[in-house]
Amino acid sequence: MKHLPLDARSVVDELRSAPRPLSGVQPRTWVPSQSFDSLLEDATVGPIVLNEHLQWLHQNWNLDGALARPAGGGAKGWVRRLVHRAVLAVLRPYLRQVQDCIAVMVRAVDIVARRVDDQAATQLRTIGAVRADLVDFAQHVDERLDG
Amino acid sequence: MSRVVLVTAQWGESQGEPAAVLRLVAGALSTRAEVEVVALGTAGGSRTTAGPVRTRLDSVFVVHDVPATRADPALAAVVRAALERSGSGRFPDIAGPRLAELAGGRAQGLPEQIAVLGPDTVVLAGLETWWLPDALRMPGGGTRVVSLPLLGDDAMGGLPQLRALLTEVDAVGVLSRGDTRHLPTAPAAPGPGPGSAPEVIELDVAFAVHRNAAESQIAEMGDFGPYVVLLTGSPPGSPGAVRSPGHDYVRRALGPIAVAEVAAHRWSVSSPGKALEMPAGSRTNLWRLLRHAEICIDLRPQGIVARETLESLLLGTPVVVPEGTVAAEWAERSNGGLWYRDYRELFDAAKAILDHPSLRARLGRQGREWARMVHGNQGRFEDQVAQLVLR
Repeated sequence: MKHLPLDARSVVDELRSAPRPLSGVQPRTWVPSQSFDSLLEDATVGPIVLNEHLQWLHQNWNLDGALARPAGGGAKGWVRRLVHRAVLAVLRPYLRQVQDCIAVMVRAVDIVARRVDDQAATQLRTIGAVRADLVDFAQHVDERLDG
Repeated sequence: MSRVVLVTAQWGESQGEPAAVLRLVAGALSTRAEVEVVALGTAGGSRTTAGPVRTRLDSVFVVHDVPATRADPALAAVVRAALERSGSGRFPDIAGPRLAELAGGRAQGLPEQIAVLGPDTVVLAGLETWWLPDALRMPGGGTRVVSLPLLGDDAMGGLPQLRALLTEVDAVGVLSRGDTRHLPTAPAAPGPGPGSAPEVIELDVAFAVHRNAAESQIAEMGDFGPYVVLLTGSPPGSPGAVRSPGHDYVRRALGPIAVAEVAAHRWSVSSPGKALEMPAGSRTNLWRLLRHAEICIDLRPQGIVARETLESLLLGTPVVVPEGTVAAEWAERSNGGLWYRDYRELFDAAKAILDHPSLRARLGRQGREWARMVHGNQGRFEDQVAQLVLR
């Protein structure tokens, strides 16, 4: 993806907060706001929150499935459950701590990723504003020189 | 190879979303297990159409037709016990197959049928089987019972019986946050057994969309110019040639753009001064229609997976969907569409997308990327189903 993500919820919220025409039957007019400007279309940096490794972390951080009680009947199943119980009796506190650490780490990475994306968006907007100012300034100088 | 029995009332001639999802689940399992289907009849004890279940899948899966209301747990227990003992030498060898044949031929009810089939895992799909899990387990506790509640945001999820079921089964497969909301929140004890918390596994259902086939536009639609697709649900038996009120509301509010309404049995296309009615097209034609639409507006009530919404997202067409539905969940998670609470908000959202091509392009692109990443991976879906059912 070659552009920063547009938050659909923010568009819905903006639409809902926009003033409705007095007649009340015409659709609201939506004006692109800070959450959506054409400048972001030109961004070449992909959003980190959509990074495939981060997505994988989100899908695989939970170890509960791997630690579930083994199923199956017969002596083999009974032995497996016995071993499972014995191993977990010793390692459960450690595994819980590992699980919590992974969960906190994923959240932390997520927060950092969002912050970086926000910063990138802000930077792009700032560059756009500076560029627009420079263009205005150049036009102003041209007009003064012509005049 | 494991034996899996899929119990459902959504098989055979049924064309709804639950049937589509269950066929995908059965297909996902078919390479790793022996899958047999027990198709439950209607509440009246017989299916809506007489005769055995007939689908193209009958050549792939063995389908047993069983009346839903004639279950007899006591008889099932007797059959189970007899079948078990027949294998232990207490009966002549000939008795086992004969007994199984007799019990299977009579097909008194679901528990007896399950007892005869003797599966490693029973998958209970939908709401029709909420009272049965205990009657389905073989003695010794070796049978894994899995539930696919297929609720979406259905109000049935509030039923205490269903909540009890979800604590009795070994695992639950959820397709959306709507399913998750109905799960018990305070488990009494981990692991299988009454009052315990079931294992919950999320399934990212993967619908295949043939993108190349969708690239060519339907010839008739070329005469209408840009158009929006309107998904409406018409109940069976409704007049086929009558457009829904929503069709005219949307066309009036959105101005000169054409509206293509997709209902169960027919498509209605209209623009100022032009109208066309045609019978519902094939899936490929639906993809072609969705692919070239400006937006896809969903007016339908709750579904369990919002298949057309996912297909629209996969094809890069932004969606406008009702708030609080599974479709809205996909739209929000993908940032590929907007959602509405009433008709006025629907018009606002549709107008915003139609008036701003760059908004449309970005919603479409984001939706497509997300849908391909999450719901376009058949291999991952098969792994998730195997993890739910076969472990």
